[in-house]
Amino acid sequence: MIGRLLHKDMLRRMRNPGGFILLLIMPLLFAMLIGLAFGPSGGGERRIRITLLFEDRDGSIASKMLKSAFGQGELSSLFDVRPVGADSGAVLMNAGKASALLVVPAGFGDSLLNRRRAELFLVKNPSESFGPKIAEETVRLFAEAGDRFVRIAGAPLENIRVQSERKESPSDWEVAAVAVQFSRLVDRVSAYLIPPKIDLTIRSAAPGKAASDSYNLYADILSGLSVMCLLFILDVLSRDIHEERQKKTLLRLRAGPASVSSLVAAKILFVFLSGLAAHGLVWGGAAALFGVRMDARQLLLFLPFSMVLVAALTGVVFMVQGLSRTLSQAQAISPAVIITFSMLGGSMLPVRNLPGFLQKAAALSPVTWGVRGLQGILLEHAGPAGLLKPALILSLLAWCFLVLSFFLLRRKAAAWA
Amino acid sequence: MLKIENLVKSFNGTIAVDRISFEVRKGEIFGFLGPNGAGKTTTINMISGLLKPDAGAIHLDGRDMLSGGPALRKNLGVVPQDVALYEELNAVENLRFWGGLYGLKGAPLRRRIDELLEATGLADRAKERVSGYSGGMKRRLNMAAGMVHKPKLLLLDEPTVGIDPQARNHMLGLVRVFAKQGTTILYTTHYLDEAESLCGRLAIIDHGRILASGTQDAIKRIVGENRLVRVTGRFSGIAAERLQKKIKSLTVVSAAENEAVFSLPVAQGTGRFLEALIAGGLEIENVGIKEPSLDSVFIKLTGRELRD
Repeated sequence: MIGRLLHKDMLRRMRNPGGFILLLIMPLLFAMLIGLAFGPSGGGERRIRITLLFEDRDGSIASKMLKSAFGQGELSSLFDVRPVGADSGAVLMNAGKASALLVVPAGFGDSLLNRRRAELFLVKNPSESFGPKIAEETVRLFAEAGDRFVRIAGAPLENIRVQSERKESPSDWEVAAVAVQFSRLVDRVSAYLIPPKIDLTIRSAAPGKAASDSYNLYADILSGLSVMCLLFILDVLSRDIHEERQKKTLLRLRAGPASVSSLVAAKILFVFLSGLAAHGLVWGGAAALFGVRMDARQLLLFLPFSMVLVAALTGVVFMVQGLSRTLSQAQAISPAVIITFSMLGGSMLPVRNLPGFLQKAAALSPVTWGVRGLQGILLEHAGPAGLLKPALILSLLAWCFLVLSFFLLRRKAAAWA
Repeated sequence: MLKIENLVKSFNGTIAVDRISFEVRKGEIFGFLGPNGAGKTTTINMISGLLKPDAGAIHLDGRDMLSGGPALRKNLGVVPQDVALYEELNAVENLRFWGGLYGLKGAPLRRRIDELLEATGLADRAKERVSGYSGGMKRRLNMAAGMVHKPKLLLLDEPTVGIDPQARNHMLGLVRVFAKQGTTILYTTHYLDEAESLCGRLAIIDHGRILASGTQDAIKRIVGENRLVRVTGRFSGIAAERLQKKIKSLTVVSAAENEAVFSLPVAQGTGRFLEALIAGGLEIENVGIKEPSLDSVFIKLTGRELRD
């Protein structure tokens, strides 16, 4: 009996696929738009350019080495170093044309050679967030590295200082002696002194997100959007019970040999299966369009988690139908419920950006656990243990909502005449 | 075949069906005649299991329908007043679904669908979506969907409401065809001509009560060999009632301000009656005479016409 009822609903849905397809496209379209606005096309990574104004009031070898350090290796693709004069630097900063202004005061190199306290001044642009911060951290790194170098390479530096103060040029023997001193020093301390390669790849994700080579911006966006859109899809499908009541086909069904329980169960099952198919199609589309890939291990977790998620969301939409007296009432209530759950659950903005009391309330939304689980699988490569909490909570919600809505609808449908 | 005993149903204190009893015999078309709101659909809904009666009993072939559960409903075919079909599907798919629900499948189901499409004249448009059908075509398919599983008893709830005369004739023809095939039919309607042309026996219902039931001839005998005379003009109800004392053979069916209905033996001339009215001081503007019929029975029983 349930099979026949399912087949009928499936056939009806296939005859009018327009609305369903539109709802499937929605999350992919939104993800694409958001991705285009905030991220790159393709891989999901990008490098930013930081304009650093460099005002060299010292003109020593040390200050020139510092300037050239920003042009080395990975840093060269990150920093755009522009030498400026005393006045132009301030003017450009006031005009907001740079992320930061690094001022090397006169006597900087001399202080280093004499192992005295050397100073650097960094002026940051307050209207920017990332650029000035990176410039500050980089300069701080250079200052620390320079400080260590001066402390360790004391003897050869002293030789250089003495020779630089003499009027005549150093002999070949003296130059060779300093070179050998440096060479031995470098051999001794290379393991400690040479800093690790600085990888300053800047991600578009919100700060604090765990970095991973397989990070995909679209997977991040879609984790939230897909759950919200899934709720909308399930809602539209679940309204069919009220629509069948309006069209009188439900009454005709009730006058037949099918029990009210089987009629309600078939409707719930149809919506659950359609939701699963929709969820699969959305993520299939995401794989094809945005390169959101899952390895076998992720897929093994994704499938059962999706079943639990769709079951919980099916329960939510049927609760709305069960509590609504008419189709128009359901149509008025369900968008409010979906948007509230989605706002709380992180479909639209991260839960951590919500005020404290709303973050606590978010735990009541199945969307929260759905988004958390999907992000765990897709972005954090979480294992079964990591997914246990969201999966258990969703299972509990699914059980409660589905059982309650089943009894509510059965009672309602039995009274409809 | 179908026995209804003292059936009662009320909604929020308003009694919709008040201790009605009747019996539908095997193979007949039993008419259930009454105006809108008389309680016909409520009765059909109770028989088909959509509503639970407050009291009374419903037996189909001796089996209690109220405690029998959904399985017993396999013997019933229900054609609701509204078209209840899946408009996204075509005629074949609709009939296949409704037939399948009652356990039909395979070749017997296909044969039955072909038979019904032929009988309803929809065979050439069987693969078209129902949403593209005319009102009459939808009504015919609606009836076919109730007949697909060859029920013992077919409940037809005003199947001709809102369709044009041609489609109505087609529908009435279908009812006769199904009856000829041996299906017992309970036919509810508020059209007197339909009840008169289709039904051998019938029950007249108004305000939830059965006013009369039996064969057409037996019911018509309620008005006797009398004709009904409806008079409108300028007079009071009391003045109209006073006439009964003056003319012994006259019965006042109803008397209100400016309108009265009298029952008059056919043998008595209408002219003399009218003279007596005028002599009684009634200013007459209109006179309507009804020969003995189901309508005159209804007027005699309720004081108003069925279309009221």
